Amino acid sequence: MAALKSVFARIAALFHKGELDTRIDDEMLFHLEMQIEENVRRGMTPQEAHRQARIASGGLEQAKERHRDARGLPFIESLFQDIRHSIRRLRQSPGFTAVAVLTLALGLSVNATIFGLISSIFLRPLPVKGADSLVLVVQQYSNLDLRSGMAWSDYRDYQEQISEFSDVLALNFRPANLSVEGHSPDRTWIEAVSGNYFSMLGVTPLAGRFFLPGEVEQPNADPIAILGYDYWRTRLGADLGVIGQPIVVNGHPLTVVGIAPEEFSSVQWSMAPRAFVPATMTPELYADASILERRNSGAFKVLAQLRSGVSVSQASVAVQAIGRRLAEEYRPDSQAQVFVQPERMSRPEPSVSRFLPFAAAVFAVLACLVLFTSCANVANLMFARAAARQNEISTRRALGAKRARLIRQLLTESAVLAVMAGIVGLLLSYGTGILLAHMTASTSDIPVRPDQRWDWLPLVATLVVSILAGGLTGLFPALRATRGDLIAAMKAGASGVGRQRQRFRSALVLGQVAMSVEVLASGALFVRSLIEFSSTDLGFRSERLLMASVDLDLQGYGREQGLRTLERMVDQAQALPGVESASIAASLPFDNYMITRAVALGATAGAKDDTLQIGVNLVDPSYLDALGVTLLAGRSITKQDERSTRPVAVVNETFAQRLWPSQDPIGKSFRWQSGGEPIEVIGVARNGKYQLLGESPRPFAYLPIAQQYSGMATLHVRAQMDDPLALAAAVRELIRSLDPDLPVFNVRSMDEHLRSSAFGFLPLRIGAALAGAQGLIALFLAVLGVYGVVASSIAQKTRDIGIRIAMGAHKIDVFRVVARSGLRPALIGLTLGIIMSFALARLLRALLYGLDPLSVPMFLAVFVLVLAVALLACWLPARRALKMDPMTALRHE
Amino acid sequence: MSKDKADVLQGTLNLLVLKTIEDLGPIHGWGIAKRIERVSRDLLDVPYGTLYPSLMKLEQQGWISSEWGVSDNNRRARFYSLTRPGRKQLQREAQNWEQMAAFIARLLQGAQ
Repeated sequence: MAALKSVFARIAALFHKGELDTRIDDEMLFHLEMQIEENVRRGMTPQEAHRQARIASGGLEQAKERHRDARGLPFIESLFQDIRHSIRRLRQSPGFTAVAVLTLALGLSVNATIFGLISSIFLRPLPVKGADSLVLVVQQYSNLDLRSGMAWSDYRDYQEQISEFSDVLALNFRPANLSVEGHSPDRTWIEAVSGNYFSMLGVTPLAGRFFLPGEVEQPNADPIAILGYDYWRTRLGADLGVIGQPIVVNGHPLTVVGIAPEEFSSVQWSMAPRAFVPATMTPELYADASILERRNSGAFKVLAQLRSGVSVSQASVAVQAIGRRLAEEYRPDSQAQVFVQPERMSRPEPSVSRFLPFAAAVFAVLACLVLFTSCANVANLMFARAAARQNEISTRRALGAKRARLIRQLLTESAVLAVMAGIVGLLLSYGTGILLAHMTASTSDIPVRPDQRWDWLPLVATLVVSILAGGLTGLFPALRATRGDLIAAMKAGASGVGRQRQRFRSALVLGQVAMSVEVLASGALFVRSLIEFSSTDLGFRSERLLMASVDLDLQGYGREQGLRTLERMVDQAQALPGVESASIAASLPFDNYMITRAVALGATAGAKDDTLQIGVNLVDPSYLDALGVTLLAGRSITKQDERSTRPVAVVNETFAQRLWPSQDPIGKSFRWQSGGEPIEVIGVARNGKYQLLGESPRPFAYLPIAQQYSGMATLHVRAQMDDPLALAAAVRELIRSLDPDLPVFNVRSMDEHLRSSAFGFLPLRIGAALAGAQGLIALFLAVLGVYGVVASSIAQKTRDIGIRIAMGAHKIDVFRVVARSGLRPALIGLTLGIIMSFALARLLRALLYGLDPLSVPMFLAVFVLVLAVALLACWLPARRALKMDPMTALRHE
Repeated sequence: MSKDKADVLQGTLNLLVLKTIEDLGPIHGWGIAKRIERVSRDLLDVPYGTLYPSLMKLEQQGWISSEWGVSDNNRRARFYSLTRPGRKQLQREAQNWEQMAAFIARLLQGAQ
């Protein structure tokens, strides 16, 4: 009780400082006077009485200080005092403050950006119930580098049979033509979901209702739909009256029963489907009667909620057991492995998620290096400052300030700097975030919703890092400044104790240069691989290509009508002014899906190992020629290859080698695993890249779209002018003239598509931008550091230089002095940095798609650049030193 | 001043101050210091750098209270008096001290 009372009293004392100070002044004065009186009574002279009284009682000010400490919370009080003092001091030298804050802020902003990205991709849970125990059930084909989904009937089996899951949902994310009366139709994407989708995720509707228990169980029985929030708000003007109204999906009216809430866009990270329809409606909506029964489909993405206490690996074991059983029963030929993966580890797409943790780790390390560089810089600055303040510090120590107290004060100063830098850094990284979002802006038709929820994690991380950084940068100069012999320090003045300090600062510069070389080198690596990949042979010519997609299936076109339409489209496009060539294909290279087929290898279809998974594209006769795919042998697809004639294919080199090693493939034929007529090889195309830039050669085949029809098709138009987008309006108009109700989507150039595709250049572009920016910042910081050290060491050696010049020293001698203090540590650091970057480059190899990272020219370039910059940083102060009048230099203190 | 004066034993200052205030009623800091010196026959020295922080702490703990008054020689001085919890605290501390003293005495006798 008394203890508590005392704490309150102490806190109260913080606020009654003045009053309490007067009181103690008065009391002690009284005490002193009483003592003097007594001394006088004892027969001393008044002066002597005064003196003795003071001696007897000890120092008045110290006594007061002890009194203050006793009554209040001395730590907090002096902390406030230190902070006030620091801010005052920093305001006295705005130049120093600005440079220090900016330097640290640059380092911190890199950090905050990276933390923000990592947090958004890996750490932030989806806004759904039980987000932490949400897992993805995926299939991985051993002969294909991609992960895929499940068949609906498989999903049903998993849902029923796996007790490790408390619930399992399935969704099929696919394109649809959407229209609401009174609004123009959209070709967009929707999710066909299992009935428990919303209830399992614990999402409640913004308005209306979601699926009821027992509803949406029977095929094609429940023509209802739920609208996504973004679609409802942006396309339908947030009209609540839409509930109960029909929405037309691929020509089939469904009744809108509910609207999803704003905070929930999808269980798929960053996706924003326009509407949710029952998966049981897909046979009708997509005219695909067997989709719910077929076992050889990977259409559905399956997510499950782990029962509490069940680990991912336990669930994986259970899933694999059932997966094997299902495969034995229904797909004896399948080479797929089923496993379970935490939802957070499967972003942004399960198929590319393997690279991400590694990439994140690399960038986090780079961010730390940049941060260290800026810390070293600020430490250097603080150091120069501490040197200039040596006198002040010595005086304060002489006056009785304890060393710990002085160190604390210097540390507070750097902490104040760090917090300021943290704030500036966050603002900077906000800007970087906008830039990054701009860069990754998708040109695809898939509706996305970038994760813009305010996140405390990067904020806290940045603040912690900035305070740590402050401690780090403040500690060494503080320890240094307060150490050493007091008397000697006071005698020597500002230029004293120079040698040792100089050595320490040189070490800082050394480390700094080494780290910036490292960061710069990795930035250069990314840029180089970007350049190298942009000149990679893709297997086709990507320049001046405009693309526009249509989905005739969704529009209800039959095969014959569809083929006729596509043919007219190509013919009319070819006739457009400014068009070099036009062609049709079902899929695009580097798109988020690729059509794959299983080729039977053995004489008889059946055995598991006897299939080859290949990628295919369905193309019109002009495609290969128009795209610039080189034919190595045989002929191309012609108009004569149609439905009634023998099925044919143009295969690539890898395909030919796998099936008929060292034989002429022309005239040979192969079969699909699923059966059907044999397909004759009529031509061999040169290998290209089909889905991933870094992929190893994969078997691929081009089939005539007239024989293997697809209503989902993309018109490729090669322009005569440099900018193919100039043709966009004409192409849209052309398609509209063929069918005014047919939505056209993904109108963009091939270059745009490659740049923004997650399978194309996007990862490299982001990598190059991040690492490149980090490298530039690091270089800038290193220049500042070298310059700062050289300049201040010259300031200290001014007298020295003056004497030398007065004695007739040559310029070169003076330069030698300067160079020794700046150039030497820079050179050592440079060498160290190059060695370190070799090590890092080996690590980066995995990220850079197997590119050999030990590129000598690039490292040489980095070496020369940093050397030049270090020379410049030395030359500027050296020139100033040389221009100095010897007399001024001599008088300089 | 003589050098053989002992510093006040750690922890006993509270007891000395509380006891002095109990005995002499409202009394100022100077009076407390003088009283302790006198009773100890100048063996103990209470410098004000020790005395006043201690008084402040006792007051913050609620064991003593203080108010301005006028001293014998017509000066303004702060007078301290014991509160009710202070009286209890004094009893407790006195008891502790006696126990400790008795124990030390026994120990010393046994050691002889």
